[in-house]
Amino acid sequence: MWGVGLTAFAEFITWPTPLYLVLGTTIGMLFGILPGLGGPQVLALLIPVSQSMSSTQAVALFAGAMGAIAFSGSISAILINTPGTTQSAATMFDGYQLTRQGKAGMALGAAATSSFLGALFGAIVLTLILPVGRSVVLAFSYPEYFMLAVMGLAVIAVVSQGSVWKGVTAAFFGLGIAAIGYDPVTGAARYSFEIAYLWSGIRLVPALIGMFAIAEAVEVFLEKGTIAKEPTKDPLRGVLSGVKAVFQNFGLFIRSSLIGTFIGIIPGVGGAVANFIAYIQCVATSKDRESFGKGNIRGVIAPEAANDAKDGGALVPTLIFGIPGSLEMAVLLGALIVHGIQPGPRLMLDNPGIALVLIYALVISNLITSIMGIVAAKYLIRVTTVPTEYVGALVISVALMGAYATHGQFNDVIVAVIFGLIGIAMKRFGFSRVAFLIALMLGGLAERTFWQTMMSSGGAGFFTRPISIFLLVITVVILILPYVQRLRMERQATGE
Amino acid sequence: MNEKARVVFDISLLVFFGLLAVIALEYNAKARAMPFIFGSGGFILVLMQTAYDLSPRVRNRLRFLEEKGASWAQGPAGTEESMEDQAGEQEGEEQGSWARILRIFTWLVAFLIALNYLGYLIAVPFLVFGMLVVEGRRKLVSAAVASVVMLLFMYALFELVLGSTF
Repeated sequence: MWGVGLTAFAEFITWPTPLYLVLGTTIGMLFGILPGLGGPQVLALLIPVSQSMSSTQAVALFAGAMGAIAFSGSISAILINTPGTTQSAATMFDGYQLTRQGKAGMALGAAATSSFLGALFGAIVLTLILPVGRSVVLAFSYPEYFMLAVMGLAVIAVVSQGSVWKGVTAAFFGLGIAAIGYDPVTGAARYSFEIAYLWSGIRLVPALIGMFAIAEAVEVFLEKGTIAKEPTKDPLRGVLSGVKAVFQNFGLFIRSSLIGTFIGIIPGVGGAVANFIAYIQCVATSKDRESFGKGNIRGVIAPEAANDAKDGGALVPTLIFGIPGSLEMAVLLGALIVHGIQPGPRLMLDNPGIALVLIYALVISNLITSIMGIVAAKYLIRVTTVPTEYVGALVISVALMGAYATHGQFNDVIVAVIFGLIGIAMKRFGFSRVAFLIALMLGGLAERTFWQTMMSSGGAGFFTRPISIFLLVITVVILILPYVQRLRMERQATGE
Repeated sequence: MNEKARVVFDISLLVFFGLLAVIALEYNAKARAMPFIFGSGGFILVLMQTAYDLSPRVRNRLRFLEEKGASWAQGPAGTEESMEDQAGEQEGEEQGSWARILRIFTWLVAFLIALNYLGYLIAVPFLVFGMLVVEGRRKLVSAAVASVVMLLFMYALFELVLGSTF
């Protein structure tokens, strides 16, 4: 294995492979920052460009772009409250609040460090797990997927930052929207009203763009002055304090990276879920919970670690089984096949070097992106001092065009506008948009896997598999723990 | 205006959940189960919320509707207004009325029409320029510069990089 590793590393550092890595990283950063554009688009764009390259060079190019997406998406989430990709959505809750307090540098520094270390963590786990990854992936079946979805939905009661009643209502709203389109089990077209676009349901990306990017941009447009309400005195110092904060919260970083890697391994769940679940565990395990959503640096560290660590995990099913767990991985799979690399059970026997090059490139790409992010932070922060009318108008137009670019459908732009208006109403009247988004993301997964479990093993199927039971126990603990802590606090207060 | 808008939003949600539950009855047993549960459950939740928002008497009886998420709750239930509620109300007062928001969304609808019939090369600068000059009351020259910069950026991204066409 060491021999293979060294040979792969020698190939990886042979010129011009590093150049392609940097090129891929730079293009990935640009796509990551722009709302609506992300991994699938940039990889699809790079496939024809890579035709004349060797397989190692092409893999470096693809991994470079992939690795840059997550953190770049967080840059726009932190600075203008508009996540570049869905996997950065949770980062904006505290990241943007820090920006408003004049601490954008701190948020960017923490996000960059957490992202790089998270990617490194995921890559190490991937390297260790590749030889035995098959059994890990096979351990997950319908009941486990269902329990994972239930875990995500149940924590809405915990994370609802306003009234739980409104949080649950928002979740029901998200579940209702998720029910639009083909029924995953019987194929019946639901709520499509004979509109072809609705057969496949409301897409997540335009809904997210509307709910957060457009809603926030309109609010920013209506504000007077600039995004940063307090001046950023020393950006570089802020960046360093963000870097330091990651090491001061290293336990949180490790937990979040583990969550990201674990969720990444499960095909079809995705980075957005990893980002949210990491944020939720961060809130649930913190003592100063009331500070979240108001600019707590831990609320940036946790989701950032998870959404980069998940890349390593997501490569497990892609490389070992040739089963892409997400659209991004599907395009990557296609790109690898174009270059004569056949992912699947024989990859580690026939072409182990390529898998290792992919891992190296992913880590280095994250390192480059983080360094570029930290170096550029001083300049990026300037966007927060531009008059809000300009920021609002430009973000709205980029967001609307980003909604179009996702699938090239005009109807996606209409959806983004509608959800923009809904997003503003939900924000102003205290209906949690986070709860809505979690439900929209997990609704389809929960319904599909519920019926699949019922049909394959009946109701008992949920309670006879160890991982399924483990996830159920975790859900119960997450739900009960804050109440137990609250009761204890009340008793202590009464005792005093 | 804010109270009226709140009630309009509550009623819109009621209609949404009502339709979700009623239309679900047309589907087969497996296809209707989840949407019917979400629709009828959501309808009950919003009905109580609407009653709470409309009537002070009902509000006193339904104090539990104010209960915060467990992770954020610091004291006994129902003693404080929700943070999002407070933030939302403050923002509503500070940042502009619903009339202004609806005016901005009229611009977005105009953008959709322009995008569909004229293409993004006209729709994007039209939106940026119109919003900056009419709604943002910025100077004509700076708005024009912002519109042209945006147009060039979009052209470079969509035509030259992505090769997409409208």
